[in-house]
Amino acid sequence: MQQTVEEIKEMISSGIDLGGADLSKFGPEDAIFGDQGLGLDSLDAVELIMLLQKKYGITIENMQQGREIFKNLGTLADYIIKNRKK
Amino acid sequence: MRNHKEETGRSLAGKWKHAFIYGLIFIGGRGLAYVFLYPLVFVYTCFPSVRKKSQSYVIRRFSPRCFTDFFKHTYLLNLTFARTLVDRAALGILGATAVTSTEEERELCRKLLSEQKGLILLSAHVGCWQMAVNLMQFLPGKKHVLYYRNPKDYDKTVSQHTGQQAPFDFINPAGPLGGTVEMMNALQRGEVLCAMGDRMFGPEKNALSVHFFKGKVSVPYSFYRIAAITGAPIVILFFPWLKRGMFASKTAAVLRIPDGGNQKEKYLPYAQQFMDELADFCIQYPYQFFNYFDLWSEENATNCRRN
Repeated sequence: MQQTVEEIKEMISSGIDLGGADLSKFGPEDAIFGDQGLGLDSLDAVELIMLLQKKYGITIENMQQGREIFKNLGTLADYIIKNRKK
Repeated sequence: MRNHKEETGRSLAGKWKHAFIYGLIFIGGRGLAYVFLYPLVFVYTCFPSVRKKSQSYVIRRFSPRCFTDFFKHTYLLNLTFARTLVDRAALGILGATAVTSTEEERELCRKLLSEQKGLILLSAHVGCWQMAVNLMQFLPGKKHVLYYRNPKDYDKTVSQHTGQQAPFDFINPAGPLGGTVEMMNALQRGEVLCAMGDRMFGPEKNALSVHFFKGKVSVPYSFYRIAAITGAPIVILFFPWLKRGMFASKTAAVLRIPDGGNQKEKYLPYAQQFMDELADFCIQYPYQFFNYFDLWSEENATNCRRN
């Protein structure tokens, strides 16, 4: 899973404008959205969803599901490992 | 001249006053309710706090020469807003409201929708925006409305009056991730998304600063970015109130936005075009701009975003 977490961080830092934030210190337990962790916001979610579709061919069907998947880097990595089509 | 009161979406009149107006519509049709609006709106306009809500627009749009002039414009603005609310209630209670749109307009929307990339209908808090979406049955497929409803907003929606299921789904911008997942999914399924492009909801970094009536205002850029990502065309559409129980749909422009990455400045021309079209609308229909807060105040823009 750690490898996928690193891939996600790489994908986020290259595809989303984080104002030069260093993602190397973040691990699987760190939140993706909100004030804690990576601190991504709703519009970053749009970018992230598109990146996930392009890179892994996965879609987030609804927000109920999205809430669990985007809880932290670890849950997203888990979902990618189980559902990736690419 | 700054209005420090934030826009909350909360109704000005209480629950029982709404019930009273609904009763009038039920008993005597919208004509009877209209008669009551003249004194009712006059009384409300006498309150400084009520005048303050729209003063930034009234001053910029009309440059009133004296207090009487300022009061007159504020009264006419409030009266038109009250009429649109009565018409919306009448649509739900009596089912009688007419929308005039040309076949070309309808065909344009149908054609854009047939591209299967979804369609964003971008409007503003002007005219009869609140009920327009109820009358867009000519568009096939599901429709979604991005809408934040304050629990203290006592205006009933059309479907609350009729007791029938609304012809659209609400997407709550105050929900998880600002409703972006739902918006993206809807567009990718080729469905219609209706949203307002004149009011910020969300963090400052997602705002664009554009010119509007002798000043700068903050507007959301998310719709332009989502359109660029999904390839969905944007139709800028306004719904002017024409007369008792009748409003029109006016297509101002169609935007096709190439994907310019996530640098928001690349979407500035589109946001500016939207606000230019809105300014044109306000020139043609001066008493139909219903943003009851100081759009130009940085403080209020921030307050609005916090809601």
